[in-house]
Amino acid sequence: MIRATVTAMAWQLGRSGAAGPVTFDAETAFLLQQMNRMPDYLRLPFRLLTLYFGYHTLLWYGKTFPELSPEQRDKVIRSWKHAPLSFMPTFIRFFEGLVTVHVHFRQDVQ
Amino acid sequence: MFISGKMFNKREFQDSILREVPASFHVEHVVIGSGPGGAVTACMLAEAGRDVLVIEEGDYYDLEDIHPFSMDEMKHKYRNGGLTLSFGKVKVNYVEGKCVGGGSEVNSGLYHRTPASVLAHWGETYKLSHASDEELEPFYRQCEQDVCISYNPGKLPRASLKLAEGADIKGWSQQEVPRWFRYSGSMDADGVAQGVKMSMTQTYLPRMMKAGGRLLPSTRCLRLEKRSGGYLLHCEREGIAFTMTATFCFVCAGAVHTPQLLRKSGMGRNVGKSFLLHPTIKATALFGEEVNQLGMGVPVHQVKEFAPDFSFGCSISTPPYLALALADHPGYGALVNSHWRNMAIYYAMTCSEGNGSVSPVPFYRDPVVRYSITDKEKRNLALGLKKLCELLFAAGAKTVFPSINGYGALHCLEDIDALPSVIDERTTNLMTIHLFSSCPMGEDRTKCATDSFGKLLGEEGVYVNDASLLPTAPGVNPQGTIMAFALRNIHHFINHGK
Repeated sequence: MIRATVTAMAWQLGRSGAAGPVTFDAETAFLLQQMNRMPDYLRLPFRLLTLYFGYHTLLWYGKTFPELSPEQRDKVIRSWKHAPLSFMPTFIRFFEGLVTVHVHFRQDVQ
Repeated sequence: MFISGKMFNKREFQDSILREVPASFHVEHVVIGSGPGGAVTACMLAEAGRDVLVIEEGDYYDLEDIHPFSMDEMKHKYRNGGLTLSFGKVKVNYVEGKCVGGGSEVNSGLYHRTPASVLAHWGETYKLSHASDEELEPFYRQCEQDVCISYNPGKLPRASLKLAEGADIKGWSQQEVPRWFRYSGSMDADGVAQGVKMSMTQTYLPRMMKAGGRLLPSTRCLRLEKRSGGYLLHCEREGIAFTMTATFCFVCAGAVHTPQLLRKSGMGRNVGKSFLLHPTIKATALFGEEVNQLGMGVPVHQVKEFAPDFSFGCSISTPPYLALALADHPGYGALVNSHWRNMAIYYAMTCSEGNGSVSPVPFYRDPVVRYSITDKEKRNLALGLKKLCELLFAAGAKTVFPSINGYGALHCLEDIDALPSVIDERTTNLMTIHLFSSCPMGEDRTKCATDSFGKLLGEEGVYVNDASLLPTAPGVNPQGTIMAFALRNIHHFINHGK
């Protein structure tokens, strides 16, 4: 579920910054690598939070985050980004920042 | 690679890096960390004929192997892949180098001496002795010669010149900052001066090894333990634990990992309880003309008109960094693809006055870093951001994007008035690359962790010699200060019969 959620986040966040039609396998791999590089005491909580993020949409949509349509995913991401609890926007910013940077680095290389 | 004006054989340097841990290991002096503090320390010890081993947690990379400010640099040379964060009401993203040469391998190489007012403050408040401008003069000069402090003889980056132009229009003082860089005398087709950054792997580390010192990369020191006549070091290399002994230990692992190691070892007083940084806020400017190009080089201008409250500079502004900067402005992301040549990132940096800490977490290796920003810092950052936006509009910016989540783009001077007068912790994104003060030096035993020359209080053979020692934020790029104090301290150690 963690990989599926990360893949869905990479696709959802990457497509807005990409110059052309691309896949986001490289971004998914990069996100998973970065999750393993973060300070060790944060790794488990972050994985649990990713799991929660992946499953919590069952309550609202009856589907996990990866199963949602792009529009529904976008809505979920926006609601977390503007949530009052600080860990929620921080969680989105983690994915958003890394995907954005990776997409552009990849374009530079190409 | 140059040493004292002569070419140093790079192969010779690489070949002399230790690849394996010897079975039985005792050294007279062990230096933990190979950044600006550790490299200077180890070099001076080796050149004084001492037995020296440098342990570095990161790997060795040649400067030419990894492109500066690239994705590979982030993955391989930054600690935790650049995902390091100080907690507090405002979270501050920071980055640290984790490779042979430490921060000197990944920073911009901008050089400042320590402001005289800062030295005076350290003398008064921390009772730091033998650290006046005059007393530091020979150490500054030595470091400046060793790392080739020089001004860029070529065409300066246009984004950097825009900062100077805006400051001149506003009547604010600006300066071109020199770098540790050896310019070769040749220029590329765009007039950009060519050369090599004089990081630690180009300067002090090869010198150290030529003088007989040894370097063991990819090795982490987990704990120090006092033994009769010295210290037992518990280390790990590629997943294999080993121990070694040393008579003297120089802990130079940076402002976060030096206190982490000392606290994990149960050593010292006032260690890790006064961590500081330079909180920095960014703004991205879109100009009517081109100011950016690939390989434009490092921006070198800074505006010190409002120092020490805040100062301005220009950041690395490649398209990936521009895209990241605009992540706070939904809808403008595509602008980077079409207009990145007209865009550049600038920053306002304030002098730290808050209070931070570095604390080990039981059963984990990485420490928790906390920093509590003060209301004054929040006001300074907000005012700094406003003044920076004013400067950018004066320099011809058409639109300015402040690094505040969800805040709109600014299109004219009047829009600046609507910026907050105090930064909001929930929406503002702060970052820094300057970390220090976690083991302050001085003679005031209530505040300091070491004496005036870096000797850890309560330990006979443990010394700190890196950014941790700076009692407070210097308000300028700190590597010049770190190297000068490292040189001063190690000369004191050598000359006082240790």
